[in-house]
This record gives sequence, C-alpha cells and structure tokens, in this order.
Amino acid sequence: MAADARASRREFETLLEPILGPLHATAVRLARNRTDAEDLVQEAVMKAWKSFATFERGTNFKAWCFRILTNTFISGKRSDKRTIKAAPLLEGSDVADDLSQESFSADEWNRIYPSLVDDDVKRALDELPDEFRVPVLLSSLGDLSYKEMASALEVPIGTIMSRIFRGRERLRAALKDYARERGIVLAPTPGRES
Amino acid sequence: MRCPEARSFLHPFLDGELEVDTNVNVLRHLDLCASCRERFEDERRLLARVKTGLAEPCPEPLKMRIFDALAAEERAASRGAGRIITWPRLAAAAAVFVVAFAWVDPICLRGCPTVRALTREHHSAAGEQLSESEAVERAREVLGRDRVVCERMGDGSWCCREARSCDGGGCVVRFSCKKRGTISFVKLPGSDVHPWLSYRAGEGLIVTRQDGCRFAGWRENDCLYGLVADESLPPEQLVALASRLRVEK
Repeated sequence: MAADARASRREFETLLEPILGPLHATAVRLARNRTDAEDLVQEAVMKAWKSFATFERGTNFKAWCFRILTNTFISGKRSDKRTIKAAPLLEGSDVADDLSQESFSADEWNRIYPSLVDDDVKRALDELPDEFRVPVLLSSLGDLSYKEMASALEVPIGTIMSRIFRGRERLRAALKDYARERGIVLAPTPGRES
Repeated sequence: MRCPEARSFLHPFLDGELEVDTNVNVLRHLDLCASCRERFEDERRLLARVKTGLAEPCPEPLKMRIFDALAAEERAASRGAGRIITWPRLAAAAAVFVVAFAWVDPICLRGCPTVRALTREHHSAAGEQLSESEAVERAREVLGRDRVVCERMGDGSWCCREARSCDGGGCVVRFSCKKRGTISFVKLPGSDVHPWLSYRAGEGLIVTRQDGCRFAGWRENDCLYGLVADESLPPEQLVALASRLRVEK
C-alpha cells in the first residue's frame, strides 16, 4: 500500500515538475501578487494530487492542472465577493474591424520589438480586466483548448473566443502605447482589406 | 474566402482551433493575400513575445514546499491505510500546542509606520483529523478570540490564527501560519540551543525559512511571538522591529 502511494506520488511529481514554471508564472499574473500566487499554486497542486486518481492517463496533464489552478483562483475570487464580470460578446463584423485597426506593420514591429521588455508584457497583461486576462493567460501559458477554457470558466466557447480576441487586441494597443511613450514614432495603420 | 472572413479566423487559426476544412481555406487565402499574411504573422510574433515575456521559473523554495507537502500527504495516506488506533496515539494526537507569531507582508512593513502585528496561533496536532468548524471552535476557545481563520496544513493538521490587520495608514498585514516542515533553522555563532524555542529578541538569532523569509521573535509562556519579513528587510532591522514589538506588547 505504501509502495503504491510512493509510486503514485513519484508519477505525479514527474508530471508536475516541468509545468511548475508555467503554473507559477500564470498564478503570478492571475493573483498580481507573488505571495498569493505561491499560495494559489500550492493549493491547486494539492487539489490536483488529491484527485490524481481520477486523472485519465494519456490525456493532457498540463491542461488538467491549469484547469484546477483556474478553478482555485476563481473560487477564491468568488469567496472574496469579486466575481469575474461578464464581458459583452463581440459580433463578427466588430472582430474584423478591430483587427484591421490595431495591427503593426512589419516595419513598426521591427521598431517596437527591440524596445519591449518582459515587464512591458507583464504590465500590459496586468492592466487587463479579469475576463480578458484569464483566457489570454490560459491560452498563452496553459495550452488549454477553447473548450477546456470554456469548461473551466463556465462560459460558452464563443465568449472565450471573443475574450481572447479582445484581450489580445488590448495587449497590442498597450504595447503600442508603451512604445510611443518611449518616443518610437508609429504611423497610423492603414486599412488593409482587399 | 475574402479578407474579413479570413481575419475573423485569425485567433482560432493561431490557436489550432479550426476544423481541417476551414484551416485549409485560411491557408489558401494566406497564400494569395500578402496583407492578411502580414497580419497573421504579426499576431503570431506578438503571441510569441507575450509567451516569452510571461515565462518565469518556479522559485526553488516554492518547489520544495510543494514537494514536502506532497511527501507529507503520502505519509499521512500510508499511515491512514494501516492505522491502528491506540490510546497513547490518541492521547498524543489530542495534545495541542500554541505558537504565536506574525507574518508581516514586506510591502506593508515598508509602508507601514507602525507595525502592530502581534498575533497568536493555535495548531492542532497532525492526525486529529478535525473538521474545519471543529478547528475554528477550538481555536476560538484557546486563543480567546472570535475572529479566527483556520488553514489546513499539508499534514492534515489545522493552523488557526487571530484575524487582525495593521492599523498603520490603512495597509494590510497578512498573518500566515508557520507551515511545519518548511522552515530551515539557521544557528548563529554562540547559540547552543534550538532557535525556534530559544530565541530572545536582541540576541541576534534569526530563523531563515526555506522560502527566503526570515523570522525574528521570542518565546514566552509557551507562545512564540515575532515577525516574518522577506530578505529585503535587513536582519538587524527585523530584530529591532521584533524587539520593539516585544516592548510594546
């Protein structure tokens, strides 16, 4: 019995170790505070360990852990009485309009990219409201599919798509602003539709 | 496929969420349309930059804390599987001890003109298997406080503390429990006793925890009082603060 428990823990630790970095990085951006982030990661890992028997071998362990991390974060927020506010869905035509407005040209990108530092990215992400920040984070660091995010956040897939799109567009706009603050001249992006 | 439609698939395309047929149609459009290709490439670069910008390793102390907690859970599970309840074991399990110390959020410590962060903690013994409400009830009784917060430790015991906040300019002091098994003791020259039980403020004994934080405090009437702060606060300042707290107390 003890040998089984030890083997199970070793298996869990082997799967866990490579994803602790992304889990922690995500928690830091979710909690916006390192102390809370560490508590969040530890709580999520212990929950994952307690339900490890239900984890289907061969499926995506990383996505499974990220789902638990997200649920832990959200339930913590709910107990704080600060629920994630619903964001309005974006219509298809709005998506296309916005996409044509905020993109960088190759030349602009080449000027912005060297000036960007990791803190810019973190700052831009931290400034996003939760409803955008969470899906953007989960898609960037967690490898969660839209379906898995929809399930974790208890919203329809269309809402996830809309939030990912809007979150990334806000990120882009913020990074552009930071570049402007540094004196990089960016021309207004021309319409590009053919 | 025309540009607006192709661009509406931008994110699902980059996230690998499109059905095969749609994916092929988007790829065909990108072959023909330079401006959409540029737009898609731009987004791909942005996402890659976001991913690298957010990446950071898990701190070693946290990793150790997690693996320690997992090992403790495993030991508890193994013990539980073949447990024979004996009276001496029950008696040992019923023994409780009270320690007291405060976690001062380092941010608060820097911004807070007056540190009043003394609190007491009550630990139930591992193996007692109390429910949260039982732990809260007992902690209220032992600590003599109504506002009590209990936290489950990796070994199944409960760590309960008085819920208080810093009164210095509205900043928040966060009290946290000593997580048993996550503290490393540093014995300083001249000390011949265990610092956890023997520290007296002003003598320069400081406990460095595995998470890099330092604890300075003193033992009094079976309680341990003190402060925890991160390494940005110089040890002598931490000791001075602990001494001040002792005097104020």
